[in-house]
Amino acid sequence: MTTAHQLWAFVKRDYLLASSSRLTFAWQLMTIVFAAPTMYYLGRLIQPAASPDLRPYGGNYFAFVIIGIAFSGFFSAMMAAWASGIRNEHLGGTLDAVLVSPVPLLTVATGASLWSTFVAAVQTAVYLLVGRLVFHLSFGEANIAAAAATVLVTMVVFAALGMISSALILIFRSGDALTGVLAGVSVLVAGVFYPTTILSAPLQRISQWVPLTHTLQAIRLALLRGAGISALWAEITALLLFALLLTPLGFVSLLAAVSTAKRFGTLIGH
Amino acid sequence: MIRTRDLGKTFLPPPWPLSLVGRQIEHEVLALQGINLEIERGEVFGIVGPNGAGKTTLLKILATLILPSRGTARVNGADVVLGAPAIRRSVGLATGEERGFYWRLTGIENLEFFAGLRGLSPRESSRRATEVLELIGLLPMAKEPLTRYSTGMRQRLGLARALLGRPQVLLLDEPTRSLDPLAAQEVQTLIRGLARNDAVTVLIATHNLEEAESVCGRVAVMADGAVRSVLSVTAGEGRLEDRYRALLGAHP
Repeated sequence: MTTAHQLWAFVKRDYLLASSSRLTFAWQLMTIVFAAPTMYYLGRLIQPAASPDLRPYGGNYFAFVIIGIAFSGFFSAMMAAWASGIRNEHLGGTLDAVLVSPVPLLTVATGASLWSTFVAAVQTAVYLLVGRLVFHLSFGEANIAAAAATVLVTMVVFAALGMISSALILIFRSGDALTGVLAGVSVLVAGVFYPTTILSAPLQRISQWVPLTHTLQAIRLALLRGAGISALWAEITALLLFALLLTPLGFVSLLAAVSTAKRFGTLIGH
Repeated sequence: MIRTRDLGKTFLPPPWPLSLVGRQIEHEVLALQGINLEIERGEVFGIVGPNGAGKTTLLKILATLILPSRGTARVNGADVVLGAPAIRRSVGLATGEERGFYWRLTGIENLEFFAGLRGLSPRESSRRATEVLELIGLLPMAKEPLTRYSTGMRQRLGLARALLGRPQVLLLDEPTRSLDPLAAQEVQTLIRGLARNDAVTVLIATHNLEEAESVCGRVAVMADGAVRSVLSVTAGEGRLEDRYRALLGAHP
């Protein structure tokens, strides 16, 4: 129960902080309201030309891109939340008060990301809802279990990446470089806006080393073509391998970063 | 309750690639050297000394926020390096810094959050936050956002936060720095009461020699990272300020 109470304390704090500036949340929703129709009309424009590469996903560019934007946005926001949680405490001057509490570092990193992850999930749901209700996007064949499994494994991968990013932020006391770089690479090669099949051969090989490539491929096939977990085993296995490799690496990086910062006195003023 | 043996801390210039970022110290800074202290349960122990003497570094090592470079320190039986989680369960730290709270939240919301970090349920957190706010005289301000708190109120809130976990050891850095004389007296009375009635061990870093004389049983005089002398503060020993001047030749 102790961990649950600690995590709840973070969620309640971040809810209270967020509710004191509701305008920010309203602006984020407005972004979705404008982005979704943009993608719809873009889809109408390029639909005929792009159809051969879109055929595996049902041939509808709007459906393809709205899923790409919604889920890449969710996982980027989640990674940024993991990365920035401890840094925000550092900048706000509250890190020493948090770290002198009997709360494990992993709980701090998790707790500080929960509210932002929840908000990002709501935004993703709004994207899909706008697509469904306003632009009649069909998820009739969707295999929700396969999509959910993909999302869960990917969350572990991006939480680990967020911990690595958080460690780099603590050590170098600079902005969130890793999240920015990974988001840029993902937009280029992971198939957010276009299928990876249109990329050059070298870029296609690179895309296989980017977790989001496998995530988007699996989620699109699950939501648009009803693919089950057995049909998606290659993508889910790749994501599991990323998770197995990155999770211990993320945790060790974060522990090492805090220990280094305590040694050099950069965790707090001295 | 608090034991240090040859405790030392040197802040080193960070190695490459850490040195590439931002302004860094260029030379070693010897912050603490050869600190040997034994502070008993229920004792109120003071640390006085000029700026840069190492008082805050010592408190932060004992609170497990900075790692020592040499020697050992034990708090409530646990080593500050190997037993940090156990120490954090038994220690309360009030740094006297104005930052360190969430300014858009109210006083009680801040304390409920930190009580939650100590594993208390939401209901227990609320009850404990109310108790310490009452203890520290801030209950009437409980539901005001921190932006409406004066500097002294925020400092008292820091002390309230340190008391949330019913600590066995209280580490206080300049606990009355921004308080008016009456509020400072109330805090001093509270500290004495915690030591006498609840056997809380209190370590206070302060510039205020009168406060040290009034609250502490013993005082360590620090300069240049070292303890120059540990003075007993009892009747007949002479004024602390005179003995301090004799040791260091200056006002803290």
